[in-house]
Amino acid sequence: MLVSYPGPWTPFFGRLDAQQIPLQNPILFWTFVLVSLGGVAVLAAITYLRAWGSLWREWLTSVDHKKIGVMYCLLGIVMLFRGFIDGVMMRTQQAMAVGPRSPGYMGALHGYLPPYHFGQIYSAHGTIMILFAITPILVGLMNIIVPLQIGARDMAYPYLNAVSFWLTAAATGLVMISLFVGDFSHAGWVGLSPLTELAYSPGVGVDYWSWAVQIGSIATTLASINIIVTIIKMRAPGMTWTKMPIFCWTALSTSVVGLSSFPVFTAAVALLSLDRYAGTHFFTPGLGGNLMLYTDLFWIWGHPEVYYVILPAFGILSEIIPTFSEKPLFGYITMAVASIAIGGVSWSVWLHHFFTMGAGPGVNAFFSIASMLVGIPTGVKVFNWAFTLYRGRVRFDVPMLWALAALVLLLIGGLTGMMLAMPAINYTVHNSVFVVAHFHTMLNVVGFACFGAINYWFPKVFGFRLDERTGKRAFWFFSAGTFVLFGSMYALGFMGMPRRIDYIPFPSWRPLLIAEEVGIVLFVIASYYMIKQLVVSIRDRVQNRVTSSDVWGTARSLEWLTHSPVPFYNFAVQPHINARDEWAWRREHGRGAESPEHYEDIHLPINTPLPLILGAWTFALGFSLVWRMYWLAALSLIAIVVLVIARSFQDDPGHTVPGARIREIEASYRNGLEPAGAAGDGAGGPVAYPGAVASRPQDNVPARP
Amino acid sequence: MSQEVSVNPATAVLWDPSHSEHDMITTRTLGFWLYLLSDAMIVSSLFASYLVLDHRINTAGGPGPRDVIHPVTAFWGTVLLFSAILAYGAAMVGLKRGDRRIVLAGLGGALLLGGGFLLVEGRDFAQLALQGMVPERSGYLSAFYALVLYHGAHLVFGLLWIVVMMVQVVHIGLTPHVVYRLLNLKLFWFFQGFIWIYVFSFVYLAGAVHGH
Amino acid sequence: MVTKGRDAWQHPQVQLARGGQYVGAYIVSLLLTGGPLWLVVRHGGTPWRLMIIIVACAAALTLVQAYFWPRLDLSRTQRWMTAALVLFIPLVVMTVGLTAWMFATLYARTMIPVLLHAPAFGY
Ligand code: HEM
Ligand SMILES: [Cu+2]
Repeated sequence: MLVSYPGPWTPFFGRLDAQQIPLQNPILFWTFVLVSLGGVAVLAAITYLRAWGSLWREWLTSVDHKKIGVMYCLLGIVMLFRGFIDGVMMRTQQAMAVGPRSPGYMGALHGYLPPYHFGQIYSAHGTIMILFAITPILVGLMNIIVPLQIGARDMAYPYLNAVSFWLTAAATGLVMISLFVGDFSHAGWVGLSPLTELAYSPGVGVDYWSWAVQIGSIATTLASINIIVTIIKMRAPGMTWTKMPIFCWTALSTSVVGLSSFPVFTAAVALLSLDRYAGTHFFTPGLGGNLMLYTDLFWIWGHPEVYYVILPAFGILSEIIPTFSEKPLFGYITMAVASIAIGGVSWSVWLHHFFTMGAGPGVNAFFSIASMLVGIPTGVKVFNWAFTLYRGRVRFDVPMLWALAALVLLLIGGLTGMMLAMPAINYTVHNSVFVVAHFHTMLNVVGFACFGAINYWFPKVFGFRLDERTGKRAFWFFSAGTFVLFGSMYALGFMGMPRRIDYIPFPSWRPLLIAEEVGIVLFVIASYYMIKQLVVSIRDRVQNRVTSSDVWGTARSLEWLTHSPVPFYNFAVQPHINARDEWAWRREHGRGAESPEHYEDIHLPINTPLPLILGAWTFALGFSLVWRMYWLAALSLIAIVVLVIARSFQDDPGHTVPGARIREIEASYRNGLEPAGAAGDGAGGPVAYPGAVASRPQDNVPARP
Repeated sequence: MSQEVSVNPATAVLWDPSHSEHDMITTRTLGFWLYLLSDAMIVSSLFASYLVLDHRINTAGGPGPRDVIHPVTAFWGTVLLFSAILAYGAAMVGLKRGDRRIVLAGLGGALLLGGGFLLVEGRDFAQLALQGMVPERSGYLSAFYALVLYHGAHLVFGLLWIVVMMVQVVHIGLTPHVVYRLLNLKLFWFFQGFIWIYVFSFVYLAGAVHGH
Repeated sequence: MVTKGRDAWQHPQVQLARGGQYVGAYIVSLLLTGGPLWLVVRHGGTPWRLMIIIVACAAALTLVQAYFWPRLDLSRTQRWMTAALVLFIPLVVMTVGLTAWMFATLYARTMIPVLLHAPAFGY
């Protein structure tokens, strides 16, 4: 062995043995019981509904961008929930463990979580929220919406798209299984070096973290390639660059950022893994390593990554706000330029995350000024949204509420970001909860935009609306929670409370910590309403069904031109783009209801289980590397290479849907019948919940003036 | 509405039924090129690491550039690598004429010459390792090995890919899918030459100039 | 565009191949790597001058290879690849350059006294 670590190692099981399953920890034990019961219940339900076949044929093996997008979003939402529970646990610990007299439970000196467990929770929380919750949701939304908005039939590489998704799922699986087999990293989502080195973290926690994020970042890189090429190559005829919806512009910019920055992250963590597995000295404190090098590489990715998540959010706001202001977006060109500029500038600011490293004044000044420059294009965007609202006929539907609140948060987060970007201020608040409050305000912009987007596009994808009443309740509780929690956190930050602490020595901070706990309770209520919203909407899907292609009546871009739910071929005939807001343009000129005269055959890729299998082998690869079962790692690697080569020998012949069939499906859509068999031989199909599209009235274009 | 629309809404064309399918080959090569650029970012990170760890303190009292860098050996590797690329160029000229035999000959040449490069590089590193100059010795050596061998690992992968393509050219023929893969492999193979320019210039030549 | 059937090799991207240019680029590549090597081995110049020559040759070689080997130009099939490469170059330069810059000053400011007189990166 090149490196030494405590504990036994056997050739077959590596470091794994039965003691690694932490059943003695009551929290984990009950989580395990609950998750197992939940899992069994889901499996039983699928079996009872006899849904295995259709699940396999229409979802798990699908290469349809809408279905992959939906699966991405589902994965993200499940992980959002997991990360949220971590958050609740941390807040509760910090509310309990205040002052030397605070009692301790379950083996903790104060509160109920011992430091090591607390460390795992905040590390898992950050990693999950950024990489396995928000990122998949955004990638999923881009997956669903971008091809529709540019009038394409699918992504440029449908098969690669499925591969990206299943790799993401494999990475997520690694994070989840670390709950029950072994433990997770305790070194923060950033992987604080040299704490992540084998000498200081000899367990498997850091390995779980590192392999999960490496696999996840490869998946995101591939997804970025797909989106960039889709936007460059697959736009419908007539859609010039200046006619492309802003969401696509932000998707393009974000994917360029993702494509260029995620590899750096992969490299940084791969070097760390070399340290941990091969005994090299990249980031070790001794023998010529340089631990700041890790920090540098991490943030070269880390800062672009935060823009990777905010840019699509900006795109979402740019779609929602005009629709509910009943006006075109103000300042289209500046919006597009700002999207690209933000992506560009975000590449030259990363040192602001470690001003305190001690680089010279020249370096710090450069990065400080560069960071503040980001404010200019962001400011342009905020003003554009404000001018879009100005003298608009503003409606407060659920998506709009989320969008407007996101604007407020953006303002707060942006301003605190500017403060942090000044080295003089940064030296006083770095590593305090002020920073945590800053980035939670920002990431909540993304969260709000995502919730807005889900409410906004749900009817397009599933053919029925989400319930309005519960949706509004969820919104108000969530917003209240955000302001109460992070308002208090800003205050604590100013008082100097360090981040990542499991015990708070000053009882005088208790009131604010309790206020934070109140905030998280509001979040809990909000998530209750979110779940309820979904349940109620599915229950009432027949009343809530969508009767036109454009549910909101005032939407503008191309995705609202095709039916809801979107048929598997997206557009029966490729649309020709005449205007920037094509759908609004057709509607306003009275041509919204026109359908093509004749239909041609449509050629589509066929479904394949290979991406799923590749994902499974990748999971095996990650798992075996974590536990150092080298034989399994080698086997998985060989299996992956062999599968990829084998696939290259059998080109996807695709399948053709005859024009006559398309005509039938389109006719049944127009006559309001359930498009019988629109699933198109298992290759996609509308994602409507059964019954949602039954017997609806004649499609009519809404007559909004 | 403030839209700069020049078409007449009444007569505007709404559908484009006969719009031909997009050009599959160009789409595939563009995506693969983007992948290569993302790979270049990994190489950049390794270069950045090498630069940071190329300081006397990072050798931890062990061997430095003067001991591990053999620019003349690296140059013979360079000759082999560039020749391998030229051989692939020959395959491309064969492909242009649709002549499978030239394609196969070019691929075979690239395979042999690429293998030759790996032999030269492998021998060089084996000697270093035998002298105890292993990556575990110091931060400097870790960075040196990582950078140079990352390029080497790409060549190993490239050789495997060449073999696969030779089989496909023989068994499948020059179908669109095989052609786009040959083009992607071309990009991949040329790209390794690209990366090697910097490894050779900034690791081998610059290292020989400065040592520590 | 001819991409279907057996004549896929008539695709414009395949037709870009030019034997003469490949060979030309090959010879230039050997000259631009062999030349600096010869200077370095013979210590032909101060380190500073040698470094300038090395950088200049690498830059020139980049252009030569990019143009004559993968044929990155502004033609219809190639322009997006060219654009992507051009957009990536600043990122590469920033990644490496800004890192080098910040660590150069960092080493000068924070390293242990013995090293204070040793300039960063061994120069
Ligand atoms: C207006 C532009 C912004 C500026 C000037 C800015 C500035 C900063 C600065 C200087 C820090 C470092 C604080 C420290 O550790 O001392 C920071 C941290 C952070 N920011 Fe921002 N920020 C901006 C926008 C954003 C956005 C849009 C996001 C995400 C959507 C974001 C997410 C984060 C995160 C996640 C961290 C901290 C990560 C950590 O240390 O764990 N920021 N920001
Ligand atoms: Cu930042």
